[in-house]
Amino acid sequence: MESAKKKSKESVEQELASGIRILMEKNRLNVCLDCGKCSAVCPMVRVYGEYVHNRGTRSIVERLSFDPKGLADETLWYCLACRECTFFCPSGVDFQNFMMGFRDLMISHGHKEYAHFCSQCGAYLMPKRQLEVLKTTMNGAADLLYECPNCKKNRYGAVLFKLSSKGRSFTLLT
Amino acid sequence: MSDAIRIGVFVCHCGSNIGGVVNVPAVVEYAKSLPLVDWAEGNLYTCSEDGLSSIRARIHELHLNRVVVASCTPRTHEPLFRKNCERAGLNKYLFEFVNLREHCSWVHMDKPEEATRKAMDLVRMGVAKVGLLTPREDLSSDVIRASLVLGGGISGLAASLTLANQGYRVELVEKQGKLGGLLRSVSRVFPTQQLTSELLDPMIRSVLGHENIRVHLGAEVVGIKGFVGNFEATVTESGKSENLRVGTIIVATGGEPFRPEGLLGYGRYENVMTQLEFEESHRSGYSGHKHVVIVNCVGARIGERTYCGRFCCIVSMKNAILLKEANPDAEITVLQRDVMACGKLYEDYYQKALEKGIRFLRYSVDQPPEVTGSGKRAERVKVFHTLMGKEIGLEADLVVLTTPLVPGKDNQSLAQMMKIPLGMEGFFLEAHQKLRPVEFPADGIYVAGTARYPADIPDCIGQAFAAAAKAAIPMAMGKVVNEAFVSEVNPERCSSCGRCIEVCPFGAVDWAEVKGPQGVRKIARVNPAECKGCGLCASSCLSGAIGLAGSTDEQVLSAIANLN
Amino acid sequence: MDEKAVLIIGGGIAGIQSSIDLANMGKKVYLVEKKPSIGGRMAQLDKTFPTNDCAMCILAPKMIECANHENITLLTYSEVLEVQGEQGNFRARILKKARFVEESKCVGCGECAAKCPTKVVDEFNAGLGVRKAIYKYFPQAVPSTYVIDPEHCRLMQGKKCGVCEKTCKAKAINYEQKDSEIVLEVGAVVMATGFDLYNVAPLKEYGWSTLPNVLTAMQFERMICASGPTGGHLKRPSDGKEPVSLAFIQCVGSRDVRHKRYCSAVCCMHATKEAILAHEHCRGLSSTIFYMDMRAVGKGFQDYVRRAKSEYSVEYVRARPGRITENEENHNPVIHYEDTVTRELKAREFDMVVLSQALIPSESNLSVAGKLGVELDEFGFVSMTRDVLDPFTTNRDGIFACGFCQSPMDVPDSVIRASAAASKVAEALARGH
Repeated sequence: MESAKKKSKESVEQELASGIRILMEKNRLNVCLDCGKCSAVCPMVRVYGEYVHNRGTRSIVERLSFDPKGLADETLWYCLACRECTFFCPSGVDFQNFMMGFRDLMISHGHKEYAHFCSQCGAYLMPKRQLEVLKTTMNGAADLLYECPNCKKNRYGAVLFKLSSKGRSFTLLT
Repeated sequence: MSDAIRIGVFVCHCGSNIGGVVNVPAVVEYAKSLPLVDWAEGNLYTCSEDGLSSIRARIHELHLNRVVVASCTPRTHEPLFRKNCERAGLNKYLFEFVNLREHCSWVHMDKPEEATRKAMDLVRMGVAKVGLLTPREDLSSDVIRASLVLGGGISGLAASLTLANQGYRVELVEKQGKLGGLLRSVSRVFPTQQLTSELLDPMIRSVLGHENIRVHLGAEVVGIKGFVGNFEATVTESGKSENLRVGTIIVATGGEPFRPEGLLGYGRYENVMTQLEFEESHRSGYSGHKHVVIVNCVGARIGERTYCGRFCCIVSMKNAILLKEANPDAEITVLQRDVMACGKLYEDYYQKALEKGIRFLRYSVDQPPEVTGSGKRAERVKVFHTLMGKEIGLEADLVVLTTPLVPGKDNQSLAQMMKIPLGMEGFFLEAHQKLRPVEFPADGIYVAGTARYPADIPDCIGQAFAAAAKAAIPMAMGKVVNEAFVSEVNPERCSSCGRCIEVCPFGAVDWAEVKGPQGVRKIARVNPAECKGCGLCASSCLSGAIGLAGSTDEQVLSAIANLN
Repeated sequence: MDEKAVLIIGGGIAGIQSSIDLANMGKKVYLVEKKPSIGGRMAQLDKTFPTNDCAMCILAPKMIECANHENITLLTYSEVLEVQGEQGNFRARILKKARFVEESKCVGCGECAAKCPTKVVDEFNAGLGVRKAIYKYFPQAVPSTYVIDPEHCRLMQGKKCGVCEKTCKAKAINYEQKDSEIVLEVGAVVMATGFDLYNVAPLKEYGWSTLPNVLTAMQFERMICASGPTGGHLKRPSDGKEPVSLAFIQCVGSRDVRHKRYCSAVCCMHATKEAILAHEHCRGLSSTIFYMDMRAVGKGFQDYVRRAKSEYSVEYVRARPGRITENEENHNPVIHYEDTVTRELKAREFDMVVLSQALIPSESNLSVAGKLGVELDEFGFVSMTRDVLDPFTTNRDGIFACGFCQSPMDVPDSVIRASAAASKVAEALARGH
């Protein structure tokens, strides 16, 4: 029983590695020339207050070229997926698209520690890191951070429906 | 009236090159005060159309019969100003050039007052000398419509073909037994990756079959005499000696691959080799590799050899791509110190290599990679990845070292044979890096290809065609005109010591027999067509028998006397 | 002589060199140049790498050789209208635009321009200075004839003027001059149409045209040139002060999939040169060059870069800056970058920033190629894929190309290829076509 579980863990890691490789190729991470423009335009430093090279685009791309699956650590969960790097990259690396796919892949292969999920349906919402930052800046509206858009829509939909059935006209946008 | 000397002095600002340091208007005023000076003016750029037409206008209006231009270096502008005088009807050798730039403003940039005084001194000296110049005529000699091409690699082949197609005779001399040069060892060329033989073989066939080209294989040049239009080259071929008479020479003797002995395990491990050795050992195919590390800039851009190999980055890309195509799952890593993929074709080629998954890791010259292994096989390469800031270890079943081309072994002897210069690195040194890249100071001899500096195929062909164009000029005209400032021997003073014959670097002085009152005697005689006017003979003559026209003792001593 | 003449289109260093070589071989050459003077881009440079020769000093003798050569006919301020025929038998119609100044009478004295009331932004000086509506393209222009710009001349725009005509002592002004057409019968054509400068305003992250102290390399070149708009003095556009710290940003628009994918080949060297010249002008000035790969591949280039580092106070930082902002108090540009070697994010203030702009095929390339039936590649350069062993013949027999219009290259390479094209032309003419 134990050996069967271990085997599947290895094959899971293999799958993850080849999945990451495919994502890297699709998003042209290979053609990165290490110019650093992405790091220079990345707004991360404004959000987190400090620049840590390991969390940045370039470092992730570099480390991935050596070990595609070796990034099951915190560093990949700081990216804001804002797309500034992709927009400015002179080599045509689509890091933002890669990052979104990369996170999905990590989660589906069991690496959930650094991710924050919807309290209602369990869908992936954002990295835990971003949740912390947003909580401090959004104050009272922080409870909006715990549900995914679909669940929110369902909840508000119910309220609106209730209101409309009291004779007021609302267009239901479901 | 016709014997009176009337001198015109033109002082150039050269933009601010001279005018920014030397007080040109003051120099002009001073020049006006000098004896025999009828006219002095300042110009912003004397070499421009405005300046030149001003000189001509003054020659006409004031009947000037001597012109002094005080500006930059005679090296670029002397022919221009001389021709200008000629256009105005003045013998072009009644012109004197004073250098106020290299000899004054540029070397005394922070001493404007003293520079101005020096400029005045220099002008005074020039004015003194110009009065003693006499009119002279140029000499012309015939040109043999044949070219000697040294070297049968791609450059030599290209030059021979274009010259032959233009209708000139070509003598192509190649040391090896076959044509093709270094490219014979290269299996595929970048960026098309086609087989080299596809390119080279048709070219070789054309050369061998061309009626205007005589190919000498296994032949070497052992001596060259003569001058532009009339060279005589002695060539030995299979033990026999032949004298080839040609009008021009193109040096296309190529460069050599560098053997990085002792570097990065080369010579110690059998799976560490240069790019050329890689090509030669992989002619039958590139498969069978899993981990390849290519190291660029081996022996280039370092203390003892500072230059860049120019195209070796592209070689590394080509072989990396060929390896990756044959071994799609292999890890191919290139260690580099700048990727020199200039221009449009090579930048795309670099992209192609990256897209195939070849990694390019940057290392620094202070921290070269280390190759380790066991027995005769290299197994690992350790390198400090500059951009990651840490040392990484790479597995390697093959290590390829990318090295630059180095100067050919024969460069020294050829340079001496033809009296052509070598640069500091040992490649042939062209007359001017920007505007005369395939010519030498000595007329009639040109250079193309890797004999001059590392060059890729389009470079080599471009230079070969360019050298051919330069060679075609004297051959097309059928004549060359030689400057009149040559040495002359006064037979009455010559003591037949032979010193001048020994010292002449161009072999322009030889013995001649003259009949005198005491019978026949041998004296020295200068061949004006070969004389370059260097003056070595004049300064070594103990009897004062040789004078260099344009710098005779009288003229030079007069200038010196006017220094103070 | 039965041999046909040669038409060379483009009077930059490549066109000039090709003309001189062919003329020296005894061929008849027509050199057509659309600007009022030959000289091309090299005339706009202050000095040239790696010798630091004054560009005009080595160019002017060649321009004059061209103008005075008995075998060369200069057709400046002229454009190619049409080329028909084939190798050995081309028929070219050339438009000689009216200068409104008689070439045979004008002595180039400049009195007209001194009195002209209309100022126009000077294209030769990269927009940094002004010229008049009647002007000489640059001080050492060949030919040195003046030309009236009809779009800006008051009289030609219907307003009252005529000052230049009244001033000209040589009576060279002729407002009635008309464009004329010339027909040339030639055996071969050489394209040497050169390059233009990429407009870097779309790269908003670098602020060219919005931030006053951010210039392009060509603007810097004109500024540091002794015969330029500031007389060779470096002056910050915002306050006229001399900068003490300079920054150069490489690959602006080049090596960029959003703009031009290719490498412009010469910018690493010209930035190094400009940094060296700046230090020579002002010993207290130091420069920082932001680069990705330092492409100093030519003869003597590596030594040039070494000297820049050790003797001319030039620092090389491997980084591609993300943004340039401004210190609003003094208009100092601030460069935001990641130093890829130290892996630190930095924001550094400089007195002035120079952008090494991408160099693109000239707009003439497109129109001339169209008229000749010559193929261009996706970037607009002349396509030279016909034969690896002959990168000078275009897809059309008898039509050759050399210089930057083929591919980014520096002056020595352009000069080499210009002579190479001359060889190919000589071959074509020798074949009796």
